[in-house]
Amino acid sequence: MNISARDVRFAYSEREVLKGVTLEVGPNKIVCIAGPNGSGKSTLIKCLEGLLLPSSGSVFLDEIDLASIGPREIARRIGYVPQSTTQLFSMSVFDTVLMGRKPHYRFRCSDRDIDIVADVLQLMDLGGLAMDEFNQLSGGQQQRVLIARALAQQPELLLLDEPTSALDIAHQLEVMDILGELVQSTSLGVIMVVHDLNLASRYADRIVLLKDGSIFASGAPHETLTAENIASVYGVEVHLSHHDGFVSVTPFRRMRETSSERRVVEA
Amino acid sequence: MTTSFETVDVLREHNQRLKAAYEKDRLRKRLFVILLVPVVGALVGSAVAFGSADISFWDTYGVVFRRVFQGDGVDALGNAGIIVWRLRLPRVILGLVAGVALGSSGAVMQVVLRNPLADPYMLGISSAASFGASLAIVMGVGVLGGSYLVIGNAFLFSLLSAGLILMLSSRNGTSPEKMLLTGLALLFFFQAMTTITQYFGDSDAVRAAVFWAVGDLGRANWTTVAISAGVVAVGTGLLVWKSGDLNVMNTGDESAQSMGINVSRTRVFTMVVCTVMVACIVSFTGTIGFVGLVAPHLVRMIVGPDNRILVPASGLIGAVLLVLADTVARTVVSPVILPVGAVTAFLGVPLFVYLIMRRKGGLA
Repeated sequence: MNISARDVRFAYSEREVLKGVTLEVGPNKIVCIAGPNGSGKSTLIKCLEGLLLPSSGSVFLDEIDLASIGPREIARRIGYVPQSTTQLFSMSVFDTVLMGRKPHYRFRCSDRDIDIVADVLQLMDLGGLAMDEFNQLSGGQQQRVLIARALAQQPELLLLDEPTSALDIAHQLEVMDILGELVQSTSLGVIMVVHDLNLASRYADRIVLLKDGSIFASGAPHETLTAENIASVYGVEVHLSHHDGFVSVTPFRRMRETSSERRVVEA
Repeated sequence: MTTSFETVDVLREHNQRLKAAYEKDRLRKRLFVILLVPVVGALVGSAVAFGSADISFWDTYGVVFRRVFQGDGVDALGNAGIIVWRLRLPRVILGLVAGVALGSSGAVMQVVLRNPLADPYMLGISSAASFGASLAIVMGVGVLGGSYLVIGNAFLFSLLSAGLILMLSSRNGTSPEKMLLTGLALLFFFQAMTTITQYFGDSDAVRAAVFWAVGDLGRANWTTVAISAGVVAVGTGLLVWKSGDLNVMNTGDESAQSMGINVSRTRVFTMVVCTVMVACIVSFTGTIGFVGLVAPHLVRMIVGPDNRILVPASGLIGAVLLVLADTVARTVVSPVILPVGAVTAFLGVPLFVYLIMRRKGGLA
């Protein structure tokens, strides 16, 4: 499945957060969205998920306008991992992950749904926590449960909003490896917001740098992660090095004023 | 992800164990609800035999048996017949029905309004009903004989209040906070209106209006039982039907929408169902507090927050609490019958506080 955002704009009351974003992502790809705080990353993800309705422009799944289909239809095709959720009344990890099957059954889940959940829990290293209460888990464990829930959803496209921000380095790599493997072995497409540029560089097929609600640069990691781009987008001076063919970014110094010079690399 | 055969086997074994643990947990919770049904039945059955009139157990059930299975007219059954069939049985059954309505809608309100303090009266239903009733009783807008006018007034005003809240809070997108705050505002508004109405009334009428507002099952008869049982059966059925969606809404609006739930539609739908159900009960019984708040929390402490279990179980526990409280209300200082609305709190508060104190960590 292809998802494409066509000149998507979005404003929270007066403030325009997305200023015309055009983006297309197909199957078997991991696309990382990076950019400073407030650059519109989460808003873009929410527009792609149909949680927010763009004030102009549209999002298309293949050739279907996202605005024309209901949440259930979207949920069968797109999985979404929020930054965090709070459960009012804490449910078990198993029940939380089982929610991912909700778009696929009408009234009650089948044996197969339960099998899928058990598999996903094992895959995400959550087997031992299955009967624990969600609200009593650590932030990182909660994040893994939310990823597990989205995987149980078996979507064609997965949108993740900073899915690894609270994970230890072992689980960061594990989650990324699992996503990478799924993207290789199935027709899954992944769009994720990440702050860790090294993680993005290591796993992304494409990196989209957002700045002030517009795409500043988009392309393969070695094309987008240049010292100039990072300086313009973040206002940070970095050292770049190369390990095993991946760009490695070491932040060095905060620059006083950010350059407004735009360097767009064609994807 | 796995390559060697041993790991696949180990995984499969872990999976089986995981599934078994989950199934066992689910069975335990279902069993709780299933076992509650005969408990409620037994309670209702025995509550009929208690009361201020001195009627023996055998006579009580004799009356019920002769009425139900032999088709004897109530008048043929004598004094005991009138007391058991005309007074006690409808009263106890109305208690059961009201308990189910308050318990199940309390559970739903807490999730839908995202607030553990929410109860079925949150949309100003009780204060609006009181105002409607006061208007009828005190201002004499046709009170004599027409007990249905008071009921009708109460019902209409509670619907009005809830409708107003849904309408006001849906401007610029509904949110639970908006609903709660508009609900609270209207509650104060209707309370003030009631006070003003009663300020100008004569003391007997005011007394009657105040007594009306305190929850009481004494106004039960077979007609009110039939109407409320019908409404509550349909309403609770609809709530149970939506309970799976409510589970997802428990994780937050955005999360629920991303799982395919139409959040605002589900919220409004369940609120309307709760409102109609509770408005109907309130107009027949007045404000019976506490049951709708406590029953869901009691159930959550025992079987957790799964709404598919919680909604029916809260209804049943609500019925247990209410029927029990009413039996105490009828017998404790017999022949005086206390208003059940006060007794529910007397019995429920110590139990509730004990359970909260015993529990580690938060309520939620």
